[in-house]
Amino acid sequence: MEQLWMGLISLISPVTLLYLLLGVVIFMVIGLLPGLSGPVGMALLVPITYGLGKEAAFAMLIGGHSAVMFAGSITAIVLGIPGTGLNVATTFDGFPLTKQGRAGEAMGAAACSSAMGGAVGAFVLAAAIPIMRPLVLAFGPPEIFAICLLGITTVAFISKGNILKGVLMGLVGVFLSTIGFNPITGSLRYTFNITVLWDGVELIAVIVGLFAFSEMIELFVNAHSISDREMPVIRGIFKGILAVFKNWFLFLRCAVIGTIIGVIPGVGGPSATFVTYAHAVSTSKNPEKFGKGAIEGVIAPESANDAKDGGALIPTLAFGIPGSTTMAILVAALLMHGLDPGPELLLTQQTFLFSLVWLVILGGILGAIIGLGAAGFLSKITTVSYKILVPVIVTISALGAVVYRGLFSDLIIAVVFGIVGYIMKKLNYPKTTLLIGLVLGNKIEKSLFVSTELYGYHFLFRPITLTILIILVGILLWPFVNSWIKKLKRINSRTDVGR
Amino acid sequence: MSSKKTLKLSSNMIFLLVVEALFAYLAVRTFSYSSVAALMPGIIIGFILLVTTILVVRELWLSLRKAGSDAAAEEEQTTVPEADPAPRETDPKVARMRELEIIGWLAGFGLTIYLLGFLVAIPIFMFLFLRIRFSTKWLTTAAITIGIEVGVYLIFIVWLQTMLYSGLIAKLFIPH
Repeated sequence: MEQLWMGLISLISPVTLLYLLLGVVIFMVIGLLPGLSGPVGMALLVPITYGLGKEAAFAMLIGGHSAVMFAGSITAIVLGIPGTGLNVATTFDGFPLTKQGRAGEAMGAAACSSAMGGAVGAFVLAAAIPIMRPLVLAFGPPEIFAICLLGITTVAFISKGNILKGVLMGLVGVFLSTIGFNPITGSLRYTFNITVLWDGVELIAVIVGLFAFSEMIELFVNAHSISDREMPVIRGIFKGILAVFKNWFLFLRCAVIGTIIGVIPGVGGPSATFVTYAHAVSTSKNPEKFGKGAIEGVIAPESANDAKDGGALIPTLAFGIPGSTTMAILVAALLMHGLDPGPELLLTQQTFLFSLVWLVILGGILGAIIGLGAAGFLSKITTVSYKILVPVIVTISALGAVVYRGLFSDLIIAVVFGIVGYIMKKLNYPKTTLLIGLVLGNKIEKSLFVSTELYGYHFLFRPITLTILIILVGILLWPFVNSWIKKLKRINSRTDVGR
Repeated sequence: MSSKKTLKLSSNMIFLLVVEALFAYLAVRTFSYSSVAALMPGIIIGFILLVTTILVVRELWLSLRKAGSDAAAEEEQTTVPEADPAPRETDPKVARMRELEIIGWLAGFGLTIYLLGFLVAIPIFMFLFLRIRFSTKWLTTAAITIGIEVGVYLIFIVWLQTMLYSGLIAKLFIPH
């Protein structure tokens, strides 16, 4: 309990609060701009936070990111254009409400659900931190090795494209982490006499390339159309806020569902919003009103959207296993600031962890306030042409790639990965698993080495390790087993019909 | 009349073959490392080659199936007089041209940064992209270019106090 308040006190400084505000504003703009999203914002800002203290840096990143979801909701409700993939479900009832002249009510409901949903997720995270401590103490190198592999596999399983593509990209990511100095023997691997590769492939450059440059290539190629819809008058915000309290039980259920989904690596994001929307429909006394302007259709996905972040932080901070692109970039940011996510962070940096809890809450609240206050102005940002957006983001990305190490070669790495990322997206290979593999690769190798030194290959048969590996094999085999079961059922039903 | 199966190499197949060839080469290279250093990458490369092979075989099987069904459809059609083919859409070609163009812009920007440094390359790039390429109004071009340049200076040099790469030419002519 004491650590919880210490976490809040550590944030109370004008500088930290200023960076929090700056992060919220920047992420809100990013959430509104077509073609950009939270991961792009993180990819752009992480290198910039390098020179900041850790409280200020994460105030900007975590606090700001908590606001991006609501930014996307603004355009989803007001213009019918989801700002990010996470806001698609909000358009189902948000935009019809705007057409009925109730845009303010929808936005009030979305803002309140977002802010309070984020708080629910954050409180679950806060409650989980002391519970996770004894759990992570039971995890030695063999368990860390197994759970890292499970993290990659789970994300690959859930990612777009087939599971094998996801696994392939995860493996490629892990391979990329082996380039450079071997952490165990100190020998060089796969550097091809290129000096800049001695320290390995720079993570920040890869992130900027995969998630900023590649998105800009796609934006330029597709020449996204400009939004030219007229802005409606925003009235009735308070009525929308009251609606959340009137539907408090629905809000709470959706926030909890969102948090649970956020915990599972790879599942978060749009899944949380669609599941909770479907839940709201199925539990409603008047399901026919959904899709036509039901306020519950805004409350449900918005509360889950922000709640999932609190859940997603649990495996990321406790085990160092990121379950999404944003979390993987966050891990990179933690490493950049000398913080090793996982058991060490959980055991030695409790005050910092609780400060992250407060940042999720404060970011959500600030985002809601700023978003509501400036909705009219912010929506105009969606009319920014790709012709202006592309060179500006490319410039910021180029700076971001280079600023961390000050090496021009990182820009080359970023451009190469930008092209690779674009090709991967076109061919439906998930970028997230590649990044997660790269982030976890070193940890996997070190834990494999230590495990074999301590236990030989018998480490694979330790109870927790073996359980995790069985789950991993199950996840890999499930698509094939499921397909085989479906074929058997089809054969059986044909046989029954034949009789 | 026998059907002629034509096999087209899809983009995905080309990508997989490139990955397979690359990692086959890296596998050979791995043998030159000590057993401890080679253990982890060796295992990973082994799995990569396995998964890539499965994907290649799957892609090949799907292509053969598609070629077979296309050939069967073609065979039916030869008995009917062919109408003039509809004009092809140009979107994929336009997309391909734009892909090459943006990669060219990125390469050019990178080269300019390498030679002249960030603070000189940025306004050149912004001006060429906005004014020359897209004929954006002079006022808009100037506002955005100056805004970005000032923003970069204030954020990276004044606020974060980072040293931005100054370019090869500056390093040659300006003493340290």
